[in-house]
Amino acid sequence: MSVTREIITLQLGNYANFVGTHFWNTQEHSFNYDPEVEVSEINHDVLFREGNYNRNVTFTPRMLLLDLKGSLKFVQESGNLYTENQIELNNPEKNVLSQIRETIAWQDDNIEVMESEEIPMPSYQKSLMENGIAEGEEFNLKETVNNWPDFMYTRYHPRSINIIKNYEYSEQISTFDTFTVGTQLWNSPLFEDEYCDKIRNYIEECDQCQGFQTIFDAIDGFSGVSMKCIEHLEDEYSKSILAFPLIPSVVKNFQFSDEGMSETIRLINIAFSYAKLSEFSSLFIPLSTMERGWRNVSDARKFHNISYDSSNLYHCSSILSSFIDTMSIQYRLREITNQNYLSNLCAQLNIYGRKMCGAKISFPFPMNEKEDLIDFLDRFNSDLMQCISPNTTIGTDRIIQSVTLRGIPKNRLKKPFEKAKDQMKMAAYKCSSISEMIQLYYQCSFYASLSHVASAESAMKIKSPFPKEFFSDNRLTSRGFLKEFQNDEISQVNEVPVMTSVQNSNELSNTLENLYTQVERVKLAKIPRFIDAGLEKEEYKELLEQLLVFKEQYDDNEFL
Amino acid sequence: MAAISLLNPKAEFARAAQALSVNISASKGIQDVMKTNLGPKGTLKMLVSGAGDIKITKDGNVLLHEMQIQHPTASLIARASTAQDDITGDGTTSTVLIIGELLKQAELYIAEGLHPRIITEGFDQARLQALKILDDMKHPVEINRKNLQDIARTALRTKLNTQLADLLTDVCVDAILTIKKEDDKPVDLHMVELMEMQHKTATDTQLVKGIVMDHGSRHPDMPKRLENAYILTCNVSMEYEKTEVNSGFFYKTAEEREKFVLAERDFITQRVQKVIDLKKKVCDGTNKTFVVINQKGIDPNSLDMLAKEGIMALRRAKRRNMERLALACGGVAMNSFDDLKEEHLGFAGLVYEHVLGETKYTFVENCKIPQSVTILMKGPNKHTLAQIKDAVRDGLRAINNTLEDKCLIPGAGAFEVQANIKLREYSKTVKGKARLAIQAYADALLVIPKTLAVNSGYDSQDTIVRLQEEGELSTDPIGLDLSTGEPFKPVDQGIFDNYIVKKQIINSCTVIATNLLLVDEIMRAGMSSLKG
Repeated sequence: MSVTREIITLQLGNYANFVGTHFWNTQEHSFNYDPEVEVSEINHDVLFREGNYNRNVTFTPRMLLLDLKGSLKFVQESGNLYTENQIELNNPEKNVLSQIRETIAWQDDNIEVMESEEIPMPSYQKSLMENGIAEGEEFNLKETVNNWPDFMYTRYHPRSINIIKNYEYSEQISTFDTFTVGTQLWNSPLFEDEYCDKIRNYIEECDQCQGFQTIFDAIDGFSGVSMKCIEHLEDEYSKSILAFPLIPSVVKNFQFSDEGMSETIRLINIAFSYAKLSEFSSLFIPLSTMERGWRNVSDARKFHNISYDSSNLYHCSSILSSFIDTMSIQYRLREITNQNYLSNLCAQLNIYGRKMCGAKISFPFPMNEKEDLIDFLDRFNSDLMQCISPNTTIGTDRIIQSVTLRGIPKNRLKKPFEKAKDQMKMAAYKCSSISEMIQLYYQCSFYASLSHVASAESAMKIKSPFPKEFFSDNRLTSRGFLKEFQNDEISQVNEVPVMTSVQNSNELSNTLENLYTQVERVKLAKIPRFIDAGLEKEEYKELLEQLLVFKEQYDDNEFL
Repeated sequence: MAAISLLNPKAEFARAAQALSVNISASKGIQDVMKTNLGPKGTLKMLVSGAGDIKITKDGNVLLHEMQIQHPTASLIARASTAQDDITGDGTTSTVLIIGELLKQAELYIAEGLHPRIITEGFDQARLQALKILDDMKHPVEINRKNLQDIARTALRTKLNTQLADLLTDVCVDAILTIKKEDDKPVDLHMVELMEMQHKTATDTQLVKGIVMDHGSRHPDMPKRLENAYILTCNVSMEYEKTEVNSGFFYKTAEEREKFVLAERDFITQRVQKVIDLKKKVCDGTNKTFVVINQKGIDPNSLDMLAKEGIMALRRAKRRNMERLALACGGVAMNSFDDLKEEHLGFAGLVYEHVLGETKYTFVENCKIPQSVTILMKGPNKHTLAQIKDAVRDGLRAINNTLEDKCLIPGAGAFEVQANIKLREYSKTVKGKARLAIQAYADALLVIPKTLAVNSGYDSQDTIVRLQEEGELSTDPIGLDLSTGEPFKPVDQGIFDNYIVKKQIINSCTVIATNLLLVDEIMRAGMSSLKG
């Protein structure tokens, strides 16, 4: 038996948890409980751990999430899997005190109970807990979800959940505002003892840990916490760290500040994150469904074959999660080759210290239902993929990229020799695998570029609580391919093929330059909260410097 | 109209008397919340969240952290109380009560027209005088078991019920006495590891004179229990790291590649072999055994090699445990295996594993001269464990404070009563209006014995009068016996508080109260859009 190459996932921030929740839901939906079927090509042990609770085997993500007080809503801090004797709140017959009386080391009559109103479970969670989701049951999650626990399908280990008590979650306003506040929070006992210890507990279980994937909110105080955390990981474990800074499509103002001010604060937080990531991470891929991530955030990216609401976090986060799901397949494959390592992915893309990459996704991969990949690549002329990194446009020249395609079975590659006919004439016909063909395709279409390709046959499963309404038009078949002939019949889409690409090119220099010029213009003295929180002028200068040096890595280079 | 509204018409402000009343009412409010907590008869607060999370506490500081305090004045007081906890570990509730009471007393005089500035000057005089009184009351103690138990018991009984408090008193005192060195150096509390185990009941909490770790060996064939064990603590990776492409190797044939991989792997194997060699050298032919505790990883192949030699190996130990292990078992934490010698090893009489649910615990016990110990806290559920942990921390702090101060202050409100009497006498020697402020200060201190009385179900005025009478007659400090409601001598009963706690309270409360009294304008104006 081969060793598992474990990955530990860290989610920091509210939007990061939206994305993470979708990600874990998708993972769990791709589990296979049928012993007859061939073993999946994806090794789930990479992301999940086996445990036991009350003599039952549990399978939970190797994950730590972090959010503010109040965002958990109806979920207990110990999670909802390892439940010790549940307390009934606001029960008139039996008060909370009497339910746990015997465990309290104090005289009975001297206990004052301060009970909060019980937070009701949304109907989706209720049916999930009680009897499972019946086929075809609809919950209108798009309208009812207002925070990530509402659509949590996977259950977490009690170790996974971490809550910041100093700041409270609010729907209107964001209280956890600056990078500096975040870095200071890292020195509190919650992180020093508990959080770091939990990371250690996870890694202690691993036989051959590949590294960490870190998903975090880059716009608020979580950026500071995350950077401290990544610094700690780098310091302590020296494993690969892949980071996904997120910029939510819907943002709240910070406390005591209007829109302009909030925008500036976000800008600085993002700049800080990028600068620090260039130092401590192995590779980072900023993600957002908006075209611009700082200043004038308004235009949402459009995706060809799905209809989504760009102002709905539940929708947007699912697209980003699909990206992470697909691109991470490379290092989650069961088959172990030299290629299938996170460290390898980072090394391939990060050359000359260019740690930032752009992300592109083709969701769903627009292939017709009866078409072969070879024909599709031959006929398809327009842009195959949509960029989902903010303020980034990447052309077709001088690119280093890592492409992942999932959901195209081997037999759809090309026709067998006897039936090949015209396909024989194409150069691509000699390719014997999907990766080979995609590689050839990019060799021909991108000038002076280098592509690494990974592929998996299994498509991405689309199952509630994933927003199925994305595919509510009649263009897709149930397997997620485009219909050859349009008809009015709307089929239930069960899975979709997805292609993603992580790209590195000179053009990212523009992204960083844009960020740099914007931040340079900000007068720090006008935002007293950074200084109040302990930011030194020198530190700020250093940040600008660091960002500029990082940008220069992308400027024309004789090797590329 | 306030000047600010000329600049910013949207600014909110409160002036003079209004500002003062905002501050005073806020401090009264926070005082009311905390009042019932004080003393061993105070109420325990149980906070239940909307999802059913339970938090049980009596510690003023924990409570302040759990409550979201929005009011700026209240949060200022809360911060003073947090600082109190950081510095001394006790007296957080008292801080809040005294600040509130100082403002309350001051309010009476301000209403009669006394200027806040005069009051604050008087307060400051009173503070200096109170510190003198405190110094006079110092009860020098010999550092011995009994005296430390007295102080720890007083601190713990205010947090837990008698039975559990007495048990933890012994645990805490033993912990400190074990790691205390002969000289007068302060004890490093980090060398007392606090380990939680959700298991059995709170009364099973115990002191382990050694180290308990929350992980075990990761190999099925490794021994689960070893006696007379050499302990090797190290920070050396025994994990094969895959080469990255950048530093890849070039090969012609598949066999050649295999060879390269083996050669890389061999590097780690040699490291492991060094450990095995040492084990053979020191253990062969004796009844000694060998344990490796590594801060870095150990991969399955290395574990396998070690297991074959009967070595127990733990990976990814806590960074701080490296230091603790060296202190508990002796030996040195190694950063490299070159030149590994026997004198680098520690020794423990017994090392064994205990499995509880998903978690393995490893006990390293029977060390020769343990300089680091573990308090193993047990409890049937999370909230009990949290409650014990808070209490143990406070207990340890109280003992440590005593070691540093080398003196104690009689407890049960004795200091406050004495200070009240002495300050009143002192006020007669002061000329001018400052005298009034000193009287106010003296009265404010009485809030502690008053609240103690009320929380125990006695009449506050009645109690105070009797305490004062008794205090004026007696030369010894007089406190309130909470079980009878009668005045008594706390020294006889062994009820003591820490000197530094009282000192800190006097200092910080006076400063905060003074600051709040001098506020004559409160304004709130947000920075409006400054496009930068």
